[in-house]
Amino acid sequence: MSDIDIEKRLTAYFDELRSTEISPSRVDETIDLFTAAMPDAGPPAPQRLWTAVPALWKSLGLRGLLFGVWDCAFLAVLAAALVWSSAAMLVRQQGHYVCTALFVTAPALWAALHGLTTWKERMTGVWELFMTARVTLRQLSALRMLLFGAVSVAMSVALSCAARLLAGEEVSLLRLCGVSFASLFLFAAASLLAEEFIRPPLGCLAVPAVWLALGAALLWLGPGAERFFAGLPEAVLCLIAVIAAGIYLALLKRRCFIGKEGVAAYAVG
Amino acid sequence: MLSVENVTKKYGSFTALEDISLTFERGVYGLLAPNGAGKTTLIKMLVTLLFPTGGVIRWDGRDILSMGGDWRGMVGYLPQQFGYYKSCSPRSFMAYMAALQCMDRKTARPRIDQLLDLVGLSDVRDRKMRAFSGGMLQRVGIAQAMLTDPAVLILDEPTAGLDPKERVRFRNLIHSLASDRIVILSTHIVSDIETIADRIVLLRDHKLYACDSPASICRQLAGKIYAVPAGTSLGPGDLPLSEYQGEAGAMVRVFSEAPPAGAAAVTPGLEDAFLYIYRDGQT
Repeated sequence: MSDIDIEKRLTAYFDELRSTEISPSRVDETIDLFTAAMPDAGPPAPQRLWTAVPALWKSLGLRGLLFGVWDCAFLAVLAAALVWSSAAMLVRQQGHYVCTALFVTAPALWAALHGLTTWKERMTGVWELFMTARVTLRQLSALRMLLFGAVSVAMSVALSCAARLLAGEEVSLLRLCGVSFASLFLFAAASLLAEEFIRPPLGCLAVPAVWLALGAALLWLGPGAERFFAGLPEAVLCLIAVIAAGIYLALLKRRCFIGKEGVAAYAVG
Repeated sequence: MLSVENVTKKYGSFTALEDISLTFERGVYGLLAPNGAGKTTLIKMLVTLLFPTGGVIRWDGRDILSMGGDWRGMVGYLPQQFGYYKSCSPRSFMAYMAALQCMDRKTARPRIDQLLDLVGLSDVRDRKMRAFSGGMLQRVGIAQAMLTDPAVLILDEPTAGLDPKERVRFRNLIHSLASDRIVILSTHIVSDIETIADRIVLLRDHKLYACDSPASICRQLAGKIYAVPAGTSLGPGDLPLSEYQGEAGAMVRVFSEAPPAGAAAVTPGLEDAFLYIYRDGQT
């Protein structure tokens, strides 16, 4: 018996049940129907990010993942390079800004990649079409964000090494990596949260705007902010980074598997 | 079989669609209503871009929202504003869409060429789309919607912005694709569907007004549509529908329960029905 047949019989049965009294034979029939349905239906398969990602990667590959947005990737790399070189100049001039500069600028590449690709998809109008494909735009963007996250982590390690050299090797590499990872994943997780619960375009702009304000405030505080980062135990920084990375991955999983309404423009209202 | 069961869609306190029940089987369905009546909302619910506030949409008894990717793989969709990358060729864009539809490359490649040939774009399949006309882009749109050989093809105002020649070509194309699938075509242009739709779905006041064949809808007005010369004074119950140029000069098609003086009875068309149903600016 197919699922549909069972569902139809159950619907008809319950419709009839509402208008008649319950008899023992009917209860037996119900049990039979449910028993027949159980082996086919079974519990829903668990949804796991690490099993979905390889399948998506196999279907799309790197070319498919960045199809149509290579120009955005190029611009994002340029923008991040500009931000980091400015930060390096600041650190060179004012040596005590190293942790602050790293914290403020670590998410630059991730933010630029995510922001520019999202912006292009909205401007061209392709995203509504992509939402209706088997691999939805939410899944595609989740996979892209994993890639952006991985590239940004690699860049954060490189930046931390560069920052250590700039600071004359006074600060430990672990501290610098902790600061940059914590900053990157806090920014990325906050961005995903905002996009999930605040309507666009505010949802896309809220976190970058807050981050810019926070960055300006930290730089204004100057040595005070640097003392704060220097005073935090390395273990705490690493723990913040790990927790933020965990939240980031959990939000990516949510993006991958939980369906959400999404249209370019509502027809009415 | 696709069934829409008591579907309601609300945006806050505004009800865009209320208690819509429809059944779609093989053939062309014309979703005809003025702008703002809820056509696009219904279409977007059918492609799961929007979720119903109440009711359910089922494919062969299964809720399409719970079918997820399986449903999306069965539906071809051409949005009102077809989004594309200007620097891409139709072939590369469709190859990308095929990847998003999880088609393997060996299957996708000949299918893409076949579809581009079907829509008359095989000569420009490797040319960048930035130079394409509106009609050519719509044809790319319909080709990408047909990639998976979908059981349901949904087209939202596909002829908007097309010139008359392109519209006729597009109509013929839709008709040829509808032999073995459900085609749902939303429009507010009567002539787009008058000749090709098996059934017309009419929405009024955000509710289902009718779902019937064009002939049956027109039959409701049989004996009530008249042509009178323009400038003829009409009775209080007479409703002027549209003007046209007849052999004797400007004429007006009028809805009237009784023939006005000097009027000639004419066969009601779908446009008459549309204008009558949506009189007084009703949506």
